[in-house]
Amino acid sequence: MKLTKQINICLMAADNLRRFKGKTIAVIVSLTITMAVCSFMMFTRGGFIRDAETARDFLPDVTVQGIEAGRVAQISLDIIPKIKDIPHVKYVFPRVWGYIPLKIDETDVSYTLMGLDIDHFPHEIDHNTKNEIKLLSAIEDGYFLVPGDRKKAVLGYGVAESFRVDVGDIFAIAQKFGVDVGEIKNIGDKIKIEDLLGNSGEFEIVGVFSNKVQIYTTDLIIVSNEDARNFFGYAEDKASDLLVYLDDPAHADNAAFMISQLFENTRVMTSKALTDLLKEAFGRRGGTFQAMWLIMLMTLLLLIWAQSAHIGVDVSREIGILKAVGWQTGDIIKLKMFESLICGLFGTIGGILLGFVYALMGTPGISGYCIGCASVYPKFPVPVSCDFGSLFLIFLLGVVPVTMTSAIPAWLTGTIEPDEAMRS
Amino acid sequence: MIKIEKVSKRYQSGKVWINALHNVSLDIKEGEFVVFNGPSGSGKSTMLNIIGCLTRISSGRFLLDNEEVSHWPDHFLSSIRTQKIGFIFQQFNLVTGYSAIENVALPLLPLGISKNARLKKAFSLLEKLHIETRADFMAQELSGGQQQLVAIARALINDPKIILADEPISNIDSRHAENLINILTELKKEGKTIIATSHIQSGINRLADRNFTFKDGAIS
Ligand SMILES: Nc1ncnc2c1ncn2[C@@H]1O[C@H](COP(=O)(O)OP(=O)(O)OP(=O)(O)O)[C@@H](O)[C@H]1O
Ligand SMILES: [Mg+2]
Repeated sequence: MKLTKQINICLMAADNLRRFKGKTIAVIVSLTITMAVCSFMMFTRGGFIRDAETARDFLPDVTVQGIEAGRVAQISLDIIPKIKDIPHVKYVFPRVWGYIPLKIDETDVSYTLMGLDIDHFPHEIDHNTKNEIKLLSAIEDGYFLVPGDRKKAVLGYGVAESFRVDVGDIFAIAQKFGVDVGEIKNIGDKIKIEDLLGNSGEFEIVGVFSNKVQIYTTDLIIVSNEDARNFFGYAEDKASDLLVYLDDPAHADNAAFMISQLFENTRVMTSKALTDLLKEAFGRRGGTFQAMWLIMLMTLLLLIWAQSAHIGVDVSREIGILKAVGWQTGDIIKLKMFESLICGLFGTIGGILLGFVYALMGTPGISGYCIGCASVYPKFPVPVSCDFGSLFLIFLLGVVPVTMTSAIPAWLTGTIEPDEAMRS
Repeated sequence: MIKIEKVSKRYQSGKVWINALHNVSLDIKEGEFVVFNGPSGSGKSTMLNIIGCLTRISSGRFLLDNEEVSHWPDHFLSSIRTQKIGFIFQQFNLVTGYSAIENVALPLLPLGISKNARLKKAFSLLEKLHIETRADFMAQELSGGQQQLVAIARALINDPKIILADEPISNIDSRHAENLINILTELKKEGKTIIATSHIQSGINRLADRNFTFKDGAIS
């Protein structure tokens, strides 16, 4: 008896929604859109922050760049021994890197070719230092460069994709379905890079970075310092910057200060400063995000208001009638809550799915507005992160207020005398 | 079965208090047909609402089947309305957006009766009132007289002992009024206790066992 009653009420709620289609669709659609934008922002915002933090894990405690006539310039390797004398400095590795503008499939892209002191870095770093471990575990396929490797490269995911390096059989599958993807390359194959400035080099692909660390590594090509010097035409005793590792990162600010005092023509940055910069750059839409949040919140409030306003007019009469013919207040509240719960569930789940699919699809129409995404290969999507916490939060945000807003007026109307309720 | 002792009912509208009923006492026995007469605003509907447990008294005593229900909690009053009372409202109060038959079946829904059983019972009542051809019409598509018949069917669906009809012949034409009087006669024969209000002397007064005339919230 008890169960059939609940079923009856639930069925009537569903029936009511079907009956008042216009209102139902309006509520569900607006909720879906709101939730889609909300969840999309949640998915991507989390991704930006996570990427910025991952990037920091790759960075040395202090980075030293050379300055010439007030502009960033090459740095001389002479100062390495002097930096090593500074307290707490454990390692100093030179790095040679630059941007390489390319034309791929008629599209202009810009990648970063980065030379590392691979005979020493990162394997010389203590095994309990997080940096090395993270860098190596970020390899999706193949291996990271080992000492002595020359004319070999590790590619970022975006680079690998644009050179049609087959990671995870994507291209093989595409080919199987008759899609022309051109010549597929594999780990161990060679790629020839010729940038628009006339620099060129040929490298054997030994590994590909996972796309889980997109922003930092997606446009990256890592080679040995010697290969990078050849590519860019650097002198033997020059590098782009120096990576300084300390025995204790807590001394980063002190060490950075001392380096900048000792060597006049340098620009010194701590990893924290770099991450903040990165976060600011990628989160430049942070302001936009906040504005969008505000809009979403207002939409939700509007929805809530519309719902309760609706209760105000003829729903209160309906509630009064139901009470007058013998319905319990509790049953009426249940009916109204079921109605909104169904709308809320449909709208919220639909919205979350929509937001997620949109984020996964590579956020068509929005990637271009993300600094850091636009300059890389166009296919590069906004990073997506999906954790249970934010998902749950979004879900609650969608379902609870909408359900509550119908329950509260129903409760209010339900507790006044039926003759009063019917009068309004 | 219905005992009203020195009942007063006050309404607050804004800062003003209105005495809708003042020190009214009356007794109605089972199976009686009673009519409340009196001018507009004299308190007839208020008294009917009290008997129908749609509103509470401000002071005095109201006994239904020897039980003082005036201070019972809300959900008990809902149960009383379900079990004992069939209310035919002045404005009929059908739920718009629902068909005639669905309106009739509405009181059965929270009792846990299946949809088929509900509609079957509702249909038989509509048949009894000769309005079954309008069963699937939406409430708002029915004429006033038809709406009243649907409202009567809804009031009868739980087979209540007490039928309360607020101004049943005010909003319908004379042909429907005649039909209504026949229906009430029939219900009286079945042994129902019937209380109706009417601001004019009319056909239903002839049916009545007793008439009470209200004036300014009191029985004169
Ligand atoms: N819910 C309410 N709130 C405020 N005042 C009310 C309420 N219900 C009734 N009243 C007032 O109580 C008085 C009696 O009203 P009631 O509806 O009982 O009169 P009535 O005899 O049924 O009149 P009518 O013949 O017009 O239906 C009126 O002055 C009315 O304004
Ligand atoms: Mg009245």
